[in-house]
Amino acid sequence: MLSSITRTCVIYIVAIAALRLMGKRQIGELQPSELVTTFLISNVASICIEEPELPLLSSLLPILLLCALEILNSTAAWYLPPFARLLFGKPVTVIRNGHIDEDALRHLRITPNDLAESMRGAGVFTPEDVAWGVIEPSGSLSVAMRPEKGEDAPLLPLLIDRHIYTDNLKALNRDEDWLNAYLTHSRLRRRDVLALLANEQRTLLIPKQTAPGNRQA
Amino acid sequence: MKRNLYAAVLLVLVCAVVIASSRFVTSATDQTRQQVQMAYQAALNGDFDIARNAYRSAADQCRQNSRLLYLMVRRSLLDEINESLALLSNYAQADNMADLGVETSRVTEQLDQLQDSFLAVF
Repeated sequence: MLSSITRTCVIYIVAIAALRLMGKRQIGELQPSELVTTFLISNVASICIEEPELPLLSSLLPILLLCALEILNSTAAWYLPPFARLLFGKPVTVIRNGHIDEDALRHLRITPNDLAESMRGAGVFTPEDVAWGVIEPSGSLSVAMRPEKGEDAPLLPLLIDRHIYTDNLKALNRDEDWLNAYLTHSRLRRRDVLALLANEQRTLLIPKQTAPGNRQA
Repeated sequence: MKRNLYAAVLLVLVCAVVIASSRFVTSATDQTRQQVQMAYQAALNGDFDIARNAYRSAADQCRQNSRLLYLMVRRSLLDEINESLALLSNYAQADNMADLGVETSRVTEQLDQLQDSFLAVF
Protein backbone atom coordinates (compact mmCIF):
# COMPACT_ATOMS: atom_id res chain seq x y z
CA MET A 1 0.00 0.00 0.00
CA LEU A 2 2.75 2.43 1.00
CA SER A 3 4.63 1.58 -2.15
CA SER A 4 1.57 2.52 -4.25
CA ILE A 5 1.47 5.92 -2.59
CA THR A 6 5.19 6.47 -3.05
CA ARG A 7 5.12 5.37 -6.67
CA THR A 8 2.11 7.58 -7.40
CA CYS A 9 3.88 10.64 -5.99
CA VAL A 10 7.13 9.91 -7.80
CA ILE A 11 5.48 9.19 -11.15
CA TYR A 12 3.20 12.23 -10.82
CA ILE A 13 6.13 14.58 -10.24
CA VAL A 14 8.26 13.03 -12.96
CA ALA A 15 5.42 13.03 -15.53
CA ILE A 16 4.62 16.71 -14.89
CA ALA A 17 8.29 17.63 -15.05
CA ALA A 18 8.69 15.71 -18.30
CA LEU A 19 5.67 17.36 -19.94
CA ARG A 20 6.74 20.76 -18.70
CA LEU A 21 10.21 20.18 -20.03
CA MET A 22 8.77 19.54 -23.47
CA GLY A 23 7.51 23.12 -23.46
CA LYS A 24 3.83 22.92 -24.37
CA ARG A 25 1.08 24.43 -22.22
CA GLN A 26 -2.11 23.32 -23.86
CA ILE A 27 -2.88 19.96 -25.34
CA GLY A 28 -4.55 21.72 -28.27
CA GLU A 29 -1.21 23.06 -29.40
CA LEU A 30 0.47 19.68 -29.63
CA GLN A 31 1.89 18.38 -32.86
CA PRO A 32 1.07 14.73 -33.63
CA SER A 33 4.43 13.45 -32.40
CA GLU A 34 4.07 15.43 -29.19
CA LEU A 35 0.56 14.06 -28.71
CA VAL A 36 1.92 10.53 -29.09
CA THR A 37 4.67 11.25 -26.58
CA THR A 38 2.15 12.68 -24.11
CA PHE A 39 -0.09 9.63 -24.42
CA LEU A 40 2.86 7.28 -24.03
CA ILE A 41 4.10 9.07 -20.94
CA SER A 42 0.65 9.03 -19.36
CA ASN A 43 0.17 5.33 -20.17
CA VAL A 44 3.56 4.35 -18.80
CA ALA A 45 2.88 6.40 -15.68
CA SER A 46 -0.53 4.85 -15.10
CA ILE A 47 0.77 1.30 -15.63
CA CYS A 48 3.42 1.91 -12.99
CA ILE A 49 0.81 3.14 -10.49
CA GLU A 50 -1.61 0.30 -11.21
CA GLU A 51 1.01 -2.47 -11.17
CA PRO A 52 3.03 -2.38 -7.93
CA GLU A 53 4.63 -5.60 -9.15
CA LEU A 54 6.55 -3.70 -11.83
CA PRO A 55 9.85 -2.08 -10.84
CA LEU A 56 9.77 1.72 -10.56
CA LEU A 57 12.72 2.20 -12.87
CA SER A 58 10.90 0.41 -15.69
CA SER A 59 8.52 3.39 -15.76
CA LEU A 60 10.78 6.26 -14.76
CA LEU A 61 13.43 5.56 -17.36
CA PRO A 62 11.00 5.32 -20.32
CA ILE A 63 9.33 8.59 -19.24
CA LEU A 64 12.65 10.42 -19.09
CA LEU A 65 13.80 8.81 -22.32
CA LEU A 66 10.58 9.81 -24.14
CA CYS A 67 10.97 13.36 -22.89
CA ALA A 68 14.59 13.56 -24.07
CA LEU A 69 13.77 12.05 -27.45
CA GLU A 70 10.88 14.46 -27.97
CA ILE A 71 13.09 17.46 -27.22
CA LEU A 72 15.79 16.22 -29.58
CA ASN A 73 13.14 15.47 -32.21
CA SER A 74 11.80 19.00 -32.06
CA THR A 75 15.35 20.37 -32.24
CA ALA A 76 15.99 18.31 -35.36
CA ALA A 77 12.73 19.68 -36.80
CA TRP A 78 14.00 23.24 -36.15
CA TYR A 79 17.24 22.68 -38.00
CA LEU A 80 15.85 20.48 -40.78
CA PRO A 81 12.63 21.90 -42.26
CA PRO A 82 12.14 18.86 -44.54
CA PHE A 83 12.29 16.65 -41.47
CA ALA A 84 9.77 18.95 -39.78
CA ARG A 85 7.42 18.58 -42.73
CA LEU A 86 7.83 14.82 -42.64
CA LEU A 87 7.19 14.71 -38.91
CA PHE A 88 4.48 17.33 -38.52
CA GLY A 89 2.93 17.44 -41.94
CA LYS A 90 2.06 20.64 -43.77
CA PRO A 91 -1.00 22.85 -43.92
CA VAL A 92 -3.49 22.15 -46.69
CA THR A 93 -5.60 24.84 -48.32
CA VAL A 94 -9.30 23.95 -48.30
CA ILE A 95 -10.92 27.32 -49.04
CA ARG A 96 -9.66 29.84 -51.55
CA ASN A 97 -11.53 33.11 -52.21
CA GLY A 98 -14.82 31.68 -51.06
CA HIS A 99 -14.47 28.38 -52.94
CA ILE A 100 -14.13 25.08 -51.13
CA ASP A 101 -11.52 22.70 -52.54
CA GLU A 102 -13.34 19.35 -52.51
CA ASP A 103 -10.26 17.45 -53.69
CA ALA A 104 -8.35 18.72 -50.69
CA LEU A 105 -11.20 17.68 -48.38
CA ARG A 106 -11.24 14.21 -49.92
CA HIS A 107 -7.47 13.94 -49.55
CA LEU A 108 -7.74 14.91 -45.88
CA ARG A 109 -10.82 12.71 -45.33
CA ILE A 110 -12.67 15.69 -43.91
CA THR A 111 -16.39 15.72 -44.51
CA PRO A 112 -18.23 18.94 -45.37
CA ASN A 113 -19.89 18.66 -41.96
CA ASP A 114 -16.48 18.60 -40.28
CA LEU A 115 -15.42 21.62 -42.28
CA ALA A 116 -18.62 23.50 -41.44
CA GLU A 117 -18.11 22.71 -37.77
CA SER A 118 -14.50 23.94 -37.89
CA MET A 119 -15.61 27.10 -39.66
CA ARG A 120 -18.23 27.80 -37.02
CA GLY A 121 -15.55 27.23 -34.37
CA ALA A 122 -13.45 29.88 -36.13
CA GLY A 123 -16.40 32.28 -36.14
CA VAL A 124 -17.03 31.88 -39.87
CA PHE A 125 -20.55 31.06 -41.08
CA THR A 126 -20.10 31.16 -44.81
CA PRO A 127 -17.09 30.19 -46.92
CA GLU A 128 -17.78 33.22 -49.13
CA ASP A 129 -16.19 35.40 -46.45
CA VAL A 130 -12.96 33.43 -46.49
CA ALA A 131 -9.97 34.52 -48.58
CA TRP A 132 -7.78 31.64 -47.46
CA GLY A 133 -8.79 28.71 -45.28
CA VAL A 134 -6.20 26.12 -44.32
CA ILE A 135 -6.27 22.93 -42.29
CA GLU A 136 -3.19 22.99 -40.08
CA PRO A 137 -1.14 19.86 -39.31
CA SER A 138 -2.79 19.84 -35.89
CA GLY A 139 -6.17 19.46 -37.60
CA SER A 140 -7.50 22.90 -36.75
CA LEU A 141 -8.83 25.32 -39.33
CA SER A 142 -7.20 28.73 -39.76
CA VAL A 143 -8.90 31.37 -41.88
CA ALA A 144 -7.93 34.70 -43.41
CA MET A 145 -11.08 36.69 -44.11
CA ARG A 146 -11.85 38.55 -47.30
CA PRO A 147 -11.23 42.24 -46.78
CA GLU A 148 -14.09 44.65 -46.25
CA LYS A 149 -14.36 47.67 -48.56
CA GLY A 150 -11.27 49.83 -48.18
CA GLU A 151 -9.33 47.25 -46.23
CA ASP A 152 -6.17 45.55 -47.37
CA ALA A 153 -6.33 41.92 -48.41
CA PRO A 154 -4.67 39.59 -45.91
CA LEU A 155 -1.02 38.82 -46.43
CA LEU A 156 -0.63 35.20 -47.52
CA PRO A 157 2.53 33.21 -46.78
CA LEU A 158 4.63 32.46 -49.83
CA LEU A 159 7.81 31.19 -48.17
CA ILE A 160 8.25 30.17 -44.54
CA ASP A 161 11.48 28.54 -43.41
CA ARG A 162 12.30 27.14 -46.86
CA HIS A 163 8.80 25.80 -47.42
CA ILE A 164 7.17 27.33 -50.49
CA TYR A 165 3.40 27.78 -50.54
CA THR A 166 2.95 27.11 -54.24
CA ASP A 167 -0.84 27.39 -54.06
CA ASN A 168 -0.57 30.88 -52.57
CA LEU A 169 1.94 31.84 -55.26
CA LYS A 170 -0.55 30.68 -57.89
CA ALA A 171 -3.39 32.53 -56.19
CA LEU A 172 -1.39 35.76 -56.49
CA ASN A 173 -0.48 34.98 -60.12
CA ARG A 174 3.16 34.43 -59.24
CA ASP A 175 5.51 31.49 -59.50
CA GLU A 176 8.86 30.24 -58.25
CA ASP A 177 10.71 32.25 -60.86
CA TRP A 178 9.17 35.40 -59.44
CA LEU A 179 10.15 34.23 -55.96
CA ASN A 180 13.74 33.54 -56.94
CA ALA A 181 14.00 36.90 -58.70
CA TYR A 182 12.57 38.70 -55.68
CA LEU A 183 15.00 37.02 -53.32
CA THR A 184 17.91 37.70 -55.66
CA HIS A 185 16.90 41.37 -55.77
CA SER A 186 16.81 41.36 -51.96
CA ARG A 187 20.20 39.64 -51.89
CA LEU A 188 18.88 36.76 -49.88
CA ARG A 189 18.76 33.01 -50.31
CA ARG A 190 15.71 30.94 -49.37
CA ARG A 191 17.43 29.69 -46.24
CA ASP A 192 17.91 33.31 -45.09
CA VAL A 193 14.18 33.99 -45.08
CA LEU A 194 12.10 33.52 -41.95
CA ALA A 195 8.86 34.45 -43.71
CA LEU A 196 7.77 36.03 -46.98
CA LEU A 197 4.15 37.17 -47.11
CA ALA A 198 2.31 39.06 -49.82
CA ASN A 199 -1.00 40.25 -51.18
CA GLU A 200 -1.79 41.98 -54.46
CA GLN A 201 -0.51 45.34 -53.18
CA ARG A 202 2.49 44.66 -51.02
CA THR A 203 5.10 42.14 -50.00
CA LEU A 204 6.51 41.61 -46.52
CA LEU A 205 9.91 39.95 -46.24
CA ILE A 206 11.16 38.92 -42.79
CA PRO A 207 14.76 37.73 -42.95
CA LYS A 208 16.30 35.51 -40.30
CA GLN A 209 18.54 37.20 -37.77
CA THR A 210 21.49 35.35 -39.24
CA ALA A 211 20.75 36.62 -42.77
CA PRO A 212 23.32 38.98 -44.31
CA GLY A 213 22.02 42.55 -44.24
CA ASN A 214 18.82 41.65 -42.39
CA ARG A 215 16.64 43.84 -44.59
CA GLN A 216 12.82 44.15 -44.79
CA ALA A 217 10.86 45.11 -47.94
CA MET B 1 18.80 26.07 -26.60
CA LYS B 2 18.48 25.20 -22.94
CA ARG B 3 16.05 22.36 -23.60
CA ASN B 4 18.64 20.58 -25.69
CA LEU B 5 20.95 20.70 -22.71
CA TYR B 6 18.20 19.24 -20.54
CA ALA B 7 17.60 16.51 -23.14
CA ALA B 8 21.30 15.68 -23.27
CA VAL B 9 21.47 15.59 -19.47
CA LEU B 10 18.42 13.33 -19.37
CA LEU B 11 19.93 10.93 -21.90
CA VAL B 12 23.19 10.80 -19.99
CA LEU B 13 21.26 10.24 -16.77
CA VAL B 14 19.21 7.44 -18.30
CA CYS B 15 22.35 5.75 -19.66
CA ALA B 16 24.13 6.13 -16.33
CA VAL B 17 21.21 4.67 -14.39
CA VAL B 18 20.87 1.75 -16.81
CA ILE B 19 24.60 0.97 -16.64
CA ALA B 20 24.74 1.31 -12.85
CA SER B 21 21.61 -0.78 -12.41
CA SER B 22 22.84 -3.56 -14.69
CA ARG B 23 26.14 -3.66 -12.81
CA PHE B 24 24.35 -3.82 -9.49
CA VAL B 25 21.97 -6.56 -10.63
CA THR B 26 24.86 -8.59 -12.04
CA SER B 27 27.05 -8.17 -8.97
CA ALA B 28 24.21 -8.86 -6.51
CA THR B 29 23.11 -12.04 -8.30
CA ASP B 30 26.69 -13.23 -8.81
CA GLN B 31 27.48 -12.66 -5.15
CA THR B 32 24.41 -14.58 -4.00
CA ARG B 33 25.14 -17.38 -6.46
CA GLN B 34 28.71 -17.67 -5.18
CA GLN B 35 27.59 -17.77 -1.57
CA VAL B 36 25.02 -20.47 -2.34
CA GLN B 37 27.56 -22.55 -4.26
CA MET B 38 30.09 -22.26 -1.44
CA ALA B 39 27.43 -23.27 1.10
CA TYR B 40 26.46 -26.30 -1.03
CA GLN B 41 30.11 -27.29 -1.36
CA ALA B 42 30.47 -27.11 2.41
CA ALA B 43 27.43 -29.35 2.77
CA LEU B 44 28.89 -31.82 0.27
CA ASN B 45 32.06 -31.84 2.37
CA GLY B 46 30.00 -32.66 5.44
CA ASP B 47 30.45 -29.27 7.13
CA PHE B 48 26.74 -28.76 7.76
CA ASP B 49 27.13 -26.03 10.40
CA ILE B 50 29.24 -23.99 8.02
CA ALA B 51 26.78 -24.72 5.22
CA ARG B 52 23.78 -23.58 7.30
CA ASN B 53 25.53 -20.37 8.33
CA ALA B 54 26.55 -19.73 4.76
CA TYR B 55 22.98 -20.25 3.49
CA ARG B 56 21.62 -17.90 6.16
CA SER B 57 24.23 -15.32 5.30
CA ALA B 58 23.31 -15.60 1.60
CA ALA B 59 19.62 -15.19 2.46
CA ASP B 60 20.31 -12.10 4.62
CA GLN B 61 22.55 -10.56 1.98
CA CYS B 62 19.96 -11.15 -0.73
CA ARG B 63 17.23 -9.64 1.42
CA GLN B 64 19.36 -6.53 1.94
CA ASN B 65 20.10 -6.25 -1.77
CA SER B 66 16.37 -6.67 -2.47
CA ARG B 67 15.66 -3.21 -1.08
CA LEU B 68 17.39 -1.75 -4.13
CA LEU B 69 16.61 -4.59 -6.49
CA TYR B 70 12.86 -3.95 -6.05
CA LEU B 71 13.39 -0.77 -8.08
CA MET B 72 14.86 -2.71 -10.96
CA VAL B 73 13.23 -6.11 -11.30
CA ARG B 74 9.81 -7.63 -10.78
CA ARG B 75 8.84 -8.02 -7.16
CA SER B 76 7.57 -11.56 -7.67
CA LEU B 77 10.96 -12.79 -8.89
CA LEU B 78 12.72 -11.38 -5.85
CA ASP B 79 10.11 -12.73 -3.47
CA GLU B 80 10.53 -16.23 -4.94
CA ILE B 81 14.30 -16.09 -4.55
CA ASN B 82 14.08 -14.82 -0.98
CA GLU B 83 11.60 -17.55 -0.09
CA SER B 84 13.84 -20.23 -1.61
CA LEU B 85 16.94 -18.90 0.14
CA ALA B 86 15.15 -18.79 3.46
CA LEU B 87 14.45 -22.55 3.20
CA LEU B 88 17.92 -23.67 2.18
CA SER B 89 19.53 -23.59 5.61
CA ASN B 90 16.85 -26.02 6.86
CA TYR B 91 17.78 -28.53 4.18
CA ALA B 92 21.49 -28.45 5.07
CA GLN B 93 21.47 -31.76 6.97
CA ALA B 94 23.06 -35.13 6.31
CA ASP B 95 19.79 -36.89 5.51
CA ASN B 96 18.47 -34.13 3.24
CA MET B 97 21.21 -33.87 0.66
CA ALA B 98 18.97 -34.73 -2.29
CA ASP B 99 16.49 -31.98 -1.39
CA LEU B 100 19.36 -29.60 -0.73
CA GLY B 101 20.72 -30.25 -4.20
CA VAL B 102 17.34 -29.64 -5.81
CA GLU B 103 16.69 -26.45 -3.87
CA THR B 104 20.18 -25.14 -4.53
CA SER B 105 19.69 -25.73 -8.25
CA ARG B 106 16.32 -23.98 -8.03
CA VAL B 107 17.86 -20.92 -6.39
CA THR B 108 20.66 -20.82 -8.96
CA GLU B 109 18.13 -20.98 -11.78
CA GLN B 110 16.00 -18.25 -10.19
CA LEU B 111 19.06 -16.02 -9.91
CA ASP B 112 19.77 -16.59 -13.61
CA GLN B 113 16.17 -15.70 -14.43
CA LEU B 114 16.42 -12.53 -12.39
CA GLN B 115 19.55 -11.50 -14.23
CA ASP B 116 17.95 -12.28 -17.59
CA SER B 117 14.81 -10.33 -16.71
CA PHE B 118 16.86 -7.19 -16.32
CA LEU B 119 19.51 -7.68 -18.97
CA ALA B 120 17.36 -9.08 -21.79
CA VAL B 121 17.18 -6.75 -24.79
CA PHE B 122 13.71 -7.82 -26.03
